[in-house]
This record gives sequence, C-alpha cells and structure tokens, in this order.
Amino acid sequence: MNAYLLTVYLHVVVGVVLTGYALFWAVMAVTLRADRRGLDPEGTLALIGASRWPPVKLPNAVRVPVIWLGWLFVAFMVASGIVLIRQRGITMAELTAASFWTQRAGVALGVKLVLLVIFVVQHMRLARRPSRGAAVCAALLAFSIVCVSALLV
Amino acid sequence: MTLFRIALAIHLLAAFAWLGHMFFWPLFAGPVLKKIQPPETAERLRELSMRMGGLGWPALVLLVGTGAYLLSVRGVTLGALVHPAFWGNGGSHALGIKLLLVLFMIGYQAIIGHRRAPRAIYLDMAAALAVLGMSVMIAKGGL
Repeated sequence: MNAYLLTVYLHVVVGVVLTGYALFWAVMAVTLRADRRGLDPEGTLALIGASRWPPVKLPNAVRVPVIWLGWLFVAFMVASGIVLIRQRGITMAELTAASFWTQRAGVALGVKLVLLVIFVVQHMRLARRPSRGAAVCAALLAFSIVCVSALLV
Repeated sequence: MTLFRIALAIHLLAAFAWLGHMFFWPLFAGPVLKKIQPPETAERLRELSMRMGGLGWPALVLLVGTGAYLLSVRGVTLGALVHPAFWGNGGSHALGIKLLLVLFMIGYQAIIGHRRAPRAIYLDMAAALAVLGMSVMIAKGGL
C-alpha cells in the first residue's frame, strides 16, 4: 500500500469513527430527552462529555474528556485531508484560482468544507452546553459530509 | 448527480453509520458509560445507548444492494465473478477478499448480532477494518 492509499485509508477509518461519535451524541440526546426516569438530559450529556477516556488507571493528563475525542478526530480529518489534497497534486495556486471551485471536485470540496465548518460550530455548542439540537445537527452534518464525499471518490 | 453517485452516497452512508456504530460503541462509549457515577446512572445510560440496535441488517441490505449496482456499473456481474479469467488482476483480488470478509460479517450478524461477545466483536472489527482497506484499494486502484 503506497503513502496515498494509506492516507486515504486512515482518513476513511477516522471518518467512520467520527460518524459513530456524532451518532452516539444524537442517540444519547434523543433517548435521554424521551426517557421519563428522572435523568436530567442536558446535565447527563454534560456528565458524559466530561467523562474521561480511556476509563482505566492512567494519569489524568493522558485521559481525554469524551467531548475532546471529537476535536481530535476532526483535527486528524483536517490534517489528513490537507495531505490528500497535496498528494493528489493540487497546488496552492490551483486552490486559489476561481476556476478550481467551478469544477465538480472543487464544488464538492467547497460544500464539504462549509459543512465541516458548520459541524465544528455545532460541536462547539455541544462542548459548551450539550443539547439535543446541537447533537442531532452534528449527526446530520456528519452524514451530509459523507454523502458529499461520494463526489470526491 | 448520476445514479452511480447517488448509489455511492447511499453505500458510503450505510457503511459509515453501521461501522461507526460498531467501532465507537464498544471502544469508546461503552467503557466510559460503565464508569459513570453513581452506578445506577451508568446502568441506565448503557440501557439507553443500546436502544440504537438493529442498525446491522438495514445497513447490510443497503450495502449489498448498492454494492451490486456499483459493481455492475464497473462491468462486474455475477457471470464475471464465476469466470476464472476475472480473478487474474490485483483489483479483483481485493474484491475477492472484500466479498469473503463481507460474508464473514453477515455470518457474524446472523449468529451473534447484538448478543454480548466480548472477544468475537474484535474479530468483526478487524474484518470491518480489512473491508475498508479493500474498498480503498478497489476505489483508488480500480478493478
């Protein structure tokens, strides 16, 4: 497997885990809201977000709050995405040319980046004050990003 | 957007949702929810998190359906699959491995499904990681 295929593979695997992460928040937010057993939905979501992973006997410094996992996954996706653009031979000059953003791949990449920015905003909302709206929005955005990615395959 | 791209989007969406659930729940969510205090809250949260069951079969139906269509667009039909000449190139080897792993995952889903199987789940995850690897090779290397 060459470097390009390895980068694509890692980008896809972390993308899958990030989708699972977004789905997890949406499922927990929706089921907690529907649950009638007295758990405070927002408070419980905040408790989950602050819980540290991995939950084993390791120093606190190396255990990250669950909500940080999302930032780590996003950071990896952005970094590997930049590497993939470079590996595809797309230069900075091409990226800054208006003609690039009118081609199918350019439009798809632009839409993907806009959706990613909105995802990041929703994730910031989720990190500051967890709510069902932010969690469901983040999951829908993650699914939309996956769909748009079909245009870049 | 062509029918091919729509099928590909559905294929990716089904794969990402199903495998994302398969990876995130046992590796990240489960262990964290188990340690939440008090234990009654932890148990309740684990029950709630498991309500999202039953994703495997719907995802598999979509994956097999769209996968067959995507292969037919690339000229790979059932007839071609049973022809020995088809299996002569690198791309077809990746497809063969992927199809075998998918059969294993369907078997896992049928036999174990959502029952607790702490060790077997890692085999299923390893198969899923290999399927993703083969998919990347097929998509980028061709058939």
